[in-house]
Amino acid sequence: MRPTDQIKNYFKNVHVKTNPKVNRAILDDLLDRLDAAKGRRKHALQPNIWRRIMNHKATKPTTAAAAVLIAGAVIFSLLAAPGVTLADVIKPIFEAKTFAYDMHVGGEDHPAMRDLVSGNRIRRTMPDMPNMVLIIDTDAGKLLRLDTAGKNASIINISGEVERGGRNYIGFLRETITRLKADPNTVQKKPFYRQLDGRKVIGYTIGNDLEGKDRDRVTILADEKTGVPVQIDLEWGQENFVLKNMEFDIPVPEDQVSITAPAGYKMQKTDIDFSKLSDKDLIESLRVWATYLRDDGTFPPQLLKQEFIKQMPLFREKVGSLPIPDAEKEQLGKYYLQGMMFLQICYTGKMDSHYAGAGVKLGDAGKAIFWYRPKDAKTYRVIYGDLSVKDVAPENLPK
Amino acid sequence: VLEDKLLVWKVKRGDKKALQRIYEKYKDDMLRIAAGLLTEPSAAEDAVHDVFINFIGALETFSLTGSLRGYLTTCVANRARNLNRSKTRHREVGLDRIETFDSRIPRPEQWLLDDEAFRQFCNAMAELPYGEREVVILRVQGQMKFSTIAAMQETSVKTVMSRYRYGITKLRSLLNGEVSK
Repeated sequence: MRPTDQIKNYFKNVHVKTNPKVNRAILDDLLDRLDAAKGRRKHALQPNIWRRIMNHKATKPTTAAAAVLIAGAVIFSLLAAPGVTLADVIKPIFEAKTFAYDMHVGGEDHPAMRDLVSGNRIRRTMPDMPNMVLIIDTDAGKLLRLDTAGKNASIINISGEVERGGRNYIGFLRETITRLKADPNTVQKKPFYRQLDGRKVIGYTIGNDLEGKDRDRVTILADEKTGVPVQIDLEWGQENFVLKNMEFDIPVPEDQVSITAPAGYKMQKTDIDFSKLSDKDLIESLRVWATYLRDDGTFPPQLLKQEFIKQMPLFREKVGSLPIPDAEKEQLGKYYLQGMMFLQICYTGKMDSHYAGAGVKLGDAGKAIFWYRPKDAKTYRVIYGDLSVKDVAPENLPK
Repeated sequence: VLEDKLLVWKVKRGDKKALQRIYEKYKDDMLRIAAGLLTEPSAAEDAVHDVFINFIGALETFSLTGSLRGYLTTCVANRARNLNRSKTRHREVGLDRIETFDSRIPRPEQWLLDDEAFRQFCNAMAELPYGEREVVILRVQGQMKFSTIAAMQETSVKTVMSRYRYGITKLRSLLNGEVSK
């Protein structure tokens, strides 16, 4: 007999023995869900919660205790049958023409930006940089930077890969929800209620249960009565964003989102160009981190866009006080920003990447601190502690 | 195939008996595939249960173009791959301890019952690299074409056939005399 046939025979003889009680319970659960799917019941499809409760360490001690929990969960789901459905909650996100929201990159405790969105235009302001206004035209791939104190303006090219990162977060949210709804691995969690800023909100989470780069989840908290979203948490790969203080279909005057500098502003030339980023930008940015932002000369503990944003006040404080000409300070700022944008391309482009620079000192040529595989490339680009870079085959990557 | 098309048609109209038939017809095969891929019964149980749940959730827009068995197998394989990626990542950072079939603590309500032959099967599959394991399981158990598996793995048919050959050889060696019984 051929080896393949022997294995086939072996597989055929491996019998699956299942617990009849669990078989029945799962079947009942599926039949119940079929009912729900056909609209015969009000509550929405939920993940296989009951069996997970049964298997959870906290409920292991007795099945009787688990049964009580299951009964509780069932009663809760009946009591909590929501009047506001997921469809109600996502409707304003998909139908509104204009939006305003506070955007926290990296979590609620990170500084917020305020976005005013109308079509392909975004007006972005930051409370800790009161003199700066950014107006982004995502169609044209242009960013207008206004210095309201000095009445200076400059245009930055953001076309190409990075344009996706200068995105309208509502557009990105729409894409994410659409993608998750079509993904067979998406689990729609049970809706939940919570108090948020003094009012009761209903929450829906859709997405997968994965962590790290494969994490893909959206949680929408909406007013319990109107269904209008009040907060949205987006967990996407290594990034997470929180949208708060949301407003839909608000009036947005054209001049607020115009890509032309207002009268009285002086146009300045800038050599910042986000359309041609490379790992050289990240290298220079890492040099800034280790030289100016870290007291011990090491690289940052983690390399995330949100950390760059979080440490901007520190950057201003440290670099601002250096006894060097303003042009050099501006150059360091450019490196810092371009490195952050390159990192964003790595993550939004889902390039396979890894950071291992925590605790490594600038100059340590023996330690790889970051590596990534450019799109369609067969080898990885590996950056070392002395900020040299090499192309390395996957099998030779650092362990 | 005709029976499956009829069953799907009925389930889409809310026929519980049709869903019960699909469940009873395919649950054992799907559990075997998931256990072979994930080599950990609790993860396999979750994967299969989730696939059936998602199947119901997608009924409104679902249209059976090939075989139902093939569709369910693909869903199980996708789910298993995601779970495996997640598990591998946790293992890399040392947050997760690998629990083999042998070392796990019996859970109060397990779907898959402990069985010597089945345990041996899981342990043998666990010795194969994931790529080879997937090819062997999907080919032998899922009856999939090499070209379909190659598309799933985003690699060439030649690579898939080579993984299959290596996988079969290793399995024969691991299972020693068991395969010729």
